[in-house]
Amino acid sequence: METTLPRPDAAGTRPRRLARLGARLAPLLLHTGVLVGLYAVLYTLGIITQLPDNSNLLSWDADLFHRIAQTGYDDAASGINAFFPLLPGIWHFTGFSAIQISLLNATCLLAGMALLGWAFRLSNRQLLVALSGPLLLFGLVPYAEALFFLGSAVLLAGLHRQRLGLVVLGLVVACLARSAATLLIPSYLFAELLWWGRGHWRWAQLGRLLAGIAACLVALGGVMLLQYRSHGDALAFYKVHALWGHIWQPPLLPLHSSAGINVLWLDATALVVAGLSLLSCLVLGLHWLTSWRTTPTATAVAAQALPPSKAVLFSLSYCVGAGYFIVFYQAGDLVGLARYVLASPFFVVLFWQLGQLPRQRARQLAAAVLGAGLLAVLALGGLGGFNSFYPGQALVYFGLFLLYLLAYVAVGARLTPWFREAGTALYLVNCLVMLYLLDLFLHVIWIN
Amino acid sequence: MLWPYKVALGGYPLFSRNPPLFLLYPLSLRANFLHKPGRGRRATCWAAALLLAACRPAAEQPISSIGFEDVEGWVVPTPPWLTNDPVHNGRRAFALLNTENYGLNITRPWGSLGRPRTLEVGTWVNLPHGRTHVALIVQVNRGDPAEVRYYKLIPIHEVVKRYNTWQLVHATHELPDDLQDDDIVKVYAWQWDAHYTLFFDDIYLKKLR
Repeated sequence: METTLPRPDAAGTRPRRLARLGARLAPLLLHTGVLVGLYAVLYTLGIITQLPDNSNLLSWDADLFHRIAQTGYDDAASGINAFFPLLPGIWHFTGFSAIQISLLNATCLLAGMALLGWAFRLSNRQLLVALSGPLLLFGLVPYAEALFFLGSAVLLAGLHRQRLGLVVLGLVVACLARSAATLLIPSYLFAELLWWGRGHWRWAQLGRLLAGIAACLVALGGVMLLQYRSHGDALAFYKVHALWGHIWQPPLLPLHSSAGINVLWLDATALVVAGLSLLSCLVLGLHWLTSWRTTPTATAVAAQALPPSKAVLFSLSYCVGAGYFIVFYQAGDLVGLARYVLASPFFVVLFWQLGQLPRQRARQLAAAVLGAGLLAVLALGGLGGFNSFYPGQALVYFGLFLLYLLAYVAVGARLTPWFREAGTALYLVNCLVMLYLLDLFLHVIWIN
Repeated sequence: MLWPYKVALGGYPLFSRNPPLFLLYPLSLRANFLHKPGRGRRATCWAAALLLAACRPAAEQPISSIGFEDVEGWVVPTPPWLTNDPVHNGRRAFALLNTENYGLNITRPWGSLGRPRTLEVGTWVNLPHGRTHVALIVQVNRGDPAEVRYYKLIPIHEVVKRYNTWQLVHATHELPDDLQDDDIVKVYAWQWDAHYTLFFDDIYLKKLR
């Protein structure tokens, strides 16, 4: 009698794949549950006083995105030209409500994070801490952050896994989502140049370089063409910065954030990230200048003399660019820096890189973070010049700020035996801050 | 993680060499660090000393303060900006109306303030919500037409995060060295963007140096 038995591999593979997929999605689902649960508890207790609806979700820039979705770019002199067309286009063609577009955004954010989790093999702890970044609330409202996050995550996954298709796709999506080509192109050049001649045929590298730049330029050209056909000014998106007073000038000290003290510490955190990224870029750049002609030997490879992943290089350069723009174009107002840096996948990649550092290097980094944090405190006025804070109050505020910085390093680099507990605490604090800031946003209070 | 038990069971005596400082032990990231002789205790003492020094209240008395009680009765009819609800202290406060860009307008010659080099200016404010944009400005002018010798803007909405209650805002101003007695020190409030009615009371100026 002949019987047909299932192939052993076919029998085992599918459930295993499903289990693996479930394991990957578990932290995302857990985070969604925690956020919804916390929101429900805080609302029930009366601490949060309103639920998101189609009216209050259209606060600040969300209303402008909605306007573009309705009317297009109808005014060459308006600030709406700074907002790029990917989100308004999707909104226009789907006809979604503010709640529906927010849900779509949240899905894009989770998808981007899942992609990073796959590409970088993030642990559940890393994923949860990354997901809890307080400024990621902008990925849950009708802003372009979620699409930019998804596009950038695709780009970083492509850079890390060396898949040119993903890189090009990511650059196109990111450049269509936000006016960031001026940051992305130099970052891409930096990441590719530091790997120039390291293990690849140089013509292939040149091809990658040109393909990436062409992707950015095509996306940017598309936006310019769209705006030109709408109102006749292809450079309207660029001229908006002058309209908003974004002109180069030395920063006025002490630095501050027009969003106030409840966001200032996050902006200062982003400032520290940008400062240390600048330092890292300088060190890596100098190393490249002194050694780019030499082909790495097997010894050098074994001694990890190669530069870090291209995704890390790209992220470092992006954070430098974002920091430079905010510090030198906003006259000392740091508002926006936390959103550009901490609510981006570039920060997630840098957080992942912390875990890749040898223990000694991680300790040095913790000291550097502390030093940069103290410099940031001085730039904010120090204990004596912090507006409306007596020195004792300023000490508590800045002490908590430094503790927050060190918590990220301790959790990311597993510097303390308590890194699990610290990670849980960091996650919960971040989630609460995110919901608090979301509540302010829904009350039309300026946070970023 | 022994410190709670040790404190609860009297393991850290209340009147040891550094009596009240055991309360700061929880601030240490690693409790076992404190068990190493000398290091933890010294670090805690330094932290406490810094904290106590920083929390020491300023002893200077105001060189000028305005509670708006004295204005009552001297201006007839009572101006709309003189309000009796809410007030921080006394019977009257100043209301920066939602129709006004500027208010307060305190003006004094620099010499009559005791020639301060470092000036602290503060006020109690009551904001309705977080959607306001208001600043307290200190400016020093010389001559007519006025030449601005000093200007500093303190955004109040950036530091006040509790609403419909009185909050103290203050800032220290390092004035230029070359001021003259008849230079005019102006303190005023400015609101921009969407306008709301905001309240001020008990404004003070302190000479710190």
